[in-house]
Amino acid sequence: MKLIGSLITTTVIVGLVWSVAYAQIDLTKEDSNVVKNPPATQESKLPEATTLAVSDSQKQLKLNISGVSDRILLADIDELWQTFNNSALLHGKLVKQPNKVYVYYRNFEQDYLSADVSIGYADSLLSDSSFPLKRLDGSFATLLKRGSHTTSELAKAWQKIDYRQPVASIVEIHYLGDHSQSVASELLIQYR
Amino acid sequence: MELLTLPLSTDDIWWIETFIDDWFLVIALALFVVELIRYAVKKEFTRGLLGDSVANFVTLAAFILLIALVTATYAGIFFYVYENFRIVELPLTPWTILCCIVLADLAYYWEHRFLHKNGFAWATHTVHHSSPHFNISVAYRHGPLDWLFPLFFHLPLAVLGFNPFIIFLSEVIVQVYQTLLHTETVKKLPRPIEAVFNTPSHHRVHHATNKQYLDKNYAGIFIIWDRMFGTFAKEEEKVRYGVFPRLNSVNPVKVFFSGYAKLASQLWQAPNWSYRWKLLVKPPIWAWQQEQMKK
Repeated sequence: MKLIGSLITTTVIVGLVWSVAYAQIDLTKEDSNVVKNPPATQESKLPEATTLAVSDSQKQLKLNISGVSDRILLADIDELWQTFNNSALLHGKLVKQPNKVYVYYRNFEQDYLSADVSIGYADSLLSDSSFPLKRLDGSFATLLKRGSHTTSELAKAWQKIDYRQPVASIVEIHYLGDHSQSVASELLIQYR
Repeated sequence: MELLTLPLSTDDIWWIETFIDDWFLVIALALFVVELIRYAVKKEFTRGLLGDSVANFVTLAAFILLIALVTATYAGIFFYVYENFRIVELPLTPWTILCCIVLADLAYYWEHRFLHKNGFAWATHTVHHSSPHFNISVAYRHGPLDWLFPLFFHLPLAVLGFNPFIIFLSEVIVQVYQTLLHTETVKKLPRPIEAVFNTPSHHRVHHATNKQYLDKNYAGIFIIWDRMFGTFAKEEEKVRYGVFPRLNSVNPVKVFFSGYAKLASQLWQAPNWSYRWKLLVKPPIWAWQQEQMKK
C-alpha cells in the first residue's frame, strides 16, 4: 500500500476505534438512573429509607450512603458526578428506584478549595455495600431549603456558610422524580 | 459488560502500570537466564555474548536515568494538551484502556517506521539494532533519545480524549509485550497467532540484515498493521542480526552513543548544508548509498 493510502487507512481505523471508545458513554448514560440537571416541579412521593426530622432551620440525618468517593478540588465536582453517573456497577445494585442522591462534603482543606466528597444513594436502596459506606449522622443546619433550585441558586447558598465556625460537613440532597430527574434540592451544613 | 465499564481512578491505572513495569522486568530476567542456559547447552555462550548482554543492561540503566530526568516535562505536555485541547473526555474504564492499547499500538507502528526512515531518529534506534545477538537482553538495549519520539506519535491520543494515565499505561503494555519477542528460543507460534500478533519470528525478521528483510515488520503487538500497510515479511531463511557497518564493541558507552557519534561524524564531513539536511531527514540507507557511490 502506498504511504498516502496507509495514512488514510490509519485515520479511518483511528476514527473507528475512537468511536468504539466513545460509544460506552452513551451506553452507560442509558444504564444510569441519574440526570444531574434540569429541575422539574413535581416532588417525589417514594418512601423514605432513612430517618429524618424536619424543621425550617434544622434537619436530623442518620443514614449510610454508598457510592463514589474521592478527594477533589470542589471546582472539579463535575468529574465526580460523571464517575457517579457512569458507574454501571453501582446502578446495577439498586433494588428500587432511588428518590434521593446525596453529595457529602467533609475534611475540608483550610482554604475550602478541596475536600473529601462522596456522591451516593442511601445504602438501603442497594443490594450490597460493595461500594464504600459513608455515615451521615447528626443535626444539620439548613443553608438552602428544599425546593426547585437552579445550579446558580445552589452555588449562592454556599456563600451563606459561616466560616467563623469550623465546618464539619456539608450535604447536598437532590430529590429525584419518577424518571430520575432532579426535581428539588437542598443544602445542609454541620458545624463542629 | 459491567466489568468493561467499571469506573477506575487514576491511582488504579498508575498502580497497574507500575505493577506491570516491575514484575515484567523480573519475568524477563528469569527468561533471560533460561536463554543463557540454552546458549551454554548449544556451546554458543561466548565472552562477546556476555559482554553484549551486560552492555544492554547498562544502556537500560542510562535510559531509566534519562526517563527520570524528563518524565515531569513529558507528562506535563500530555496533561497540558489533554486539559486544553481534548475533544471529549473518555471515561477511565477497562473499555477505554482496551481501545487506547489498540490505538497506542497503531501509533507505535508509525513511530517505529519513522525511526527507520529518518536519519536523526535512526541515530537513536540503531543502538537497539546494533547487537549481533538476539535475546531478551537486546529488548533492553536503548539509545539516548528513545524517550523522545513516542511523544509526537502518542500526543494525538490526548486530543482524542484518552486520559494521559491511560496513554502511559498503553505505551507500557505495547513496550513490555515486545520484550518477549526478542528471542530465538521460540520458533513459530500457531498460525492464527502468527497471523494477528507480532511474534518472535516476525521480530527476528525486523532485526535482520538479510536484504529482503530490511525495514520490515514494524509492529508492536499487532502484526496486522504491517500486513495492511505492505511492510510485512515472513521468516523463511536464517536471520543475520546487527547493522552495517557492524558495531564491534561491547563498551556500553560506545554502544549507547554509537548512532549519534556516527551521525555527528557524517554531518562534520558533509560537503554542503543540503547534504547535512538530507542526513538528518532521509532514511539511513541514503547515507550508505552516498558512501558507496563515493567509493
